[in-house]
Amino acid sequence: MRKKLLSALCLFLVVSALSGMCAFASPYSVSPWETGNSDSLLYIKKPASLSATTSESTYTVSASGRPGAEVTVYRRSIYDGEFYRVFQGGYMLEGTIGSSGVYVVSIELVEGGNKMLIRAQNDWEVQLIKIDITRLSQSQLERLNGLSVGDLFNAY
Amino acid sequence: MRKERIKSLVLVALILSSLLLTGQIWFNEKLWPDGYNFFVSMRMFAFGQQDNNSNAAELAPKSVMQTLTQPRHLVAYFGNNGFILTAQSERYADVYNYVAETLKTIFPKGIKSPLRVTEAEWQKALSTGGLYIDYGFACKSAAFAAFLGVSDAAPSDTVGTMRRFIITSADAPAGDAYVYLRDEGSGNFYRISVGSAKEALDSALAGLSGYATPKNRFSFFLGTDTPSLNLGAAVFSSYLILSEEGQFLPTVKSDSPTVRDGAVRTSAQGLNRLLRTFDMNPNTVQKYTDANENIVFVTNNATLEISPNGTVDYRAVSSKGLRLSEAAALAGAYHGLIPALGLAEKTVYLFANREDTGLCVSGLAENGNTLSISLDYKCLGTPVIFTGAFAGRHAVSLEVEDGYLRSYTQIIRTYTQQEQQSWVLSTYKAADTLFDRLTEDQRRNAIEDMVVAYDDDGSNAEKSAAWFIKLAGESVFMR
Repeated sequence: MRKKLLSALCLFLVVSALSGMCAFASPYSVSPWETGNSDSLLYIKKPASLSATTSESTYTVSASGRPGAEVTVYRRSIYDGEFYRVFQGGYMLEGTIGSSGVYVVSIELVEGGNKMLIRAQNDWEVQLIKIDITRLSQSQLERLNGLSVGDLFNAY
Repeated sequence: MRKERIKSLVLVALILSSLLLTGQIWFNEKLWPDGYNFFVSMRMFAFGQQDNNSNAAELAPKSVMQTLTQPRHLVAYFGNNGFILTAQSERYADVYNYVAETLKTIFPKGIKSPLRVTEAEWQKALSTGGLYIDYGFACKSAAFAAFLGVSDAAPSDTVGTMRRFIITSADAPAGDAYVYLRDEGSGNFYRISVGSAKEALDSALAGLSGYATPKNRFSFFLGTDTPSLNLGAAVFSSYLILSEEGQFLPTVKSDSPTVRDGAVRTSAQGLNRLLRTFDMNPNTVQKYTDANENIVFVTNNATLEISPNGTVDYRAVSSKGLRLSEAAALAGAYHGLIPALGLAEKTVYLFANREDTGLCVSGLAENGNTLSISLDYKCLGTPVIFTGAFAGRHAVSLEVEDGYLRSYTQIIRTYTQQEQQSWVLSTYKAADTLFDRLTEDQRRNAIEDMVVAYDDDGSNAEKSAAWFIKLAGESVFMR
């Protein structure tokens, strides 16, 4: 009887610890319709307009935020439109904002559109920020570089 | 008769022995007294001038410029990817030689006609490809020219003080390169053409692009140089290179070679070499120990004090101190710079091992004909910053006036690499750790500079490298 009680207690402790962790952990996926309940956890500094075009394979997003907030990076799936957590170089792109309030993350891009979502959470406050980064292919870049003002007018 | 002969023999023996003993006193250096000695004075009179000349020649070794004038930050950048070069980097010497030679060309006589450019153009130059150089301290253009070994540069009336430079071939005519520089006083930016330097620049940059990573970016590029809404996040100086990656650096062991058990302990040979470096003759100099256990050497022109806290302090007491060089004495403050740096280097290596312990200029200021120079230690190319009893002080601080050394203070420390390594955080993680220790008021100031340095608290224990921060408006780094 005593043994059973002890086992039940252990099970209770494990379940409560896990549920506590899960309550604050970032979800595996985020629906594109989700909005969050805060707008004061994170402020994206780059890209300032929340969209950018680059020819590089990596883009560095920088932000300032409330110390202690958990930040996770998601990428939109072209299959179901949901945002999924990004694993890069064997690690999940997530971190906690430290005392300096600065958060910087380098994201590897695929060619074309990269619809990203930055999710910040502090206790029950959640903020979601969508970012669009377009990575140009080499040929697109060469075409753009070769384009003159005259070409733009001739196009019409 | 026999008795007389014995007396004569004893007399001869006594005379011979007295001659022998007198000769010993005259010629055996170990028996010379600390004070006045007629024969030493005679020798100085006969040979002293030659000794001085040879000393002056030694004070300006060719290696001085290469080892003492290295910048605090040297970054090779390719687009938005950066590679932070340290003295441990494989091609550091080649790249820095190119930098020094190129920067010298902007001072033919004054500064080559600089063209005023906007900050946007400066930032564009930092987003293409080239080298960014930050010496970590600002000084007047003529002093900077002297620092680079250009002896006849006239002061510029356009650019006041300089510290940061860019060398790039972007937007330059084919085959040419530009040097961009910033006037630290006015905040204006300038561009100078340095002619056909593109090929040499490409050669200096060759092979470095492979090391460049998007994880090393300038602060302005990330927008971390501007304050953000009400979040109170750290603001980094615009041209500080920020790294997302940490690194391993070896630990080092430090020592005060002139101190043992709280008292000054130096070998006679080491002491003689130190005195001779400051043109003091060990055989004629007056020596005494003061109430604070400092050993003080006195000549007509200067005093030299060795303290049990591990410092050496030279003070000129007459109108002229140690003459650094003939040319320096004739030509004014700047011309004493290189011999002064040579003197500092020579003094440091009387005690330290050249492989592990280095020295680097960390400040250069002029006031009339007086030049004040400060130097810091480096260990394996990484700077050393003093905390504890020596907090805020430099390894060497010296003053030169009209080519004469007026004062020289050195904290005598040596550093030796250890086998263990310690992890040094990324810039952002380091900023988080440092911010924990700052007061609310301090947090409002921008971060002017951040540097990885060995923390020397004055003890002889093993030391690890750590990040140090300098806030805007502060003059010293803190951990």
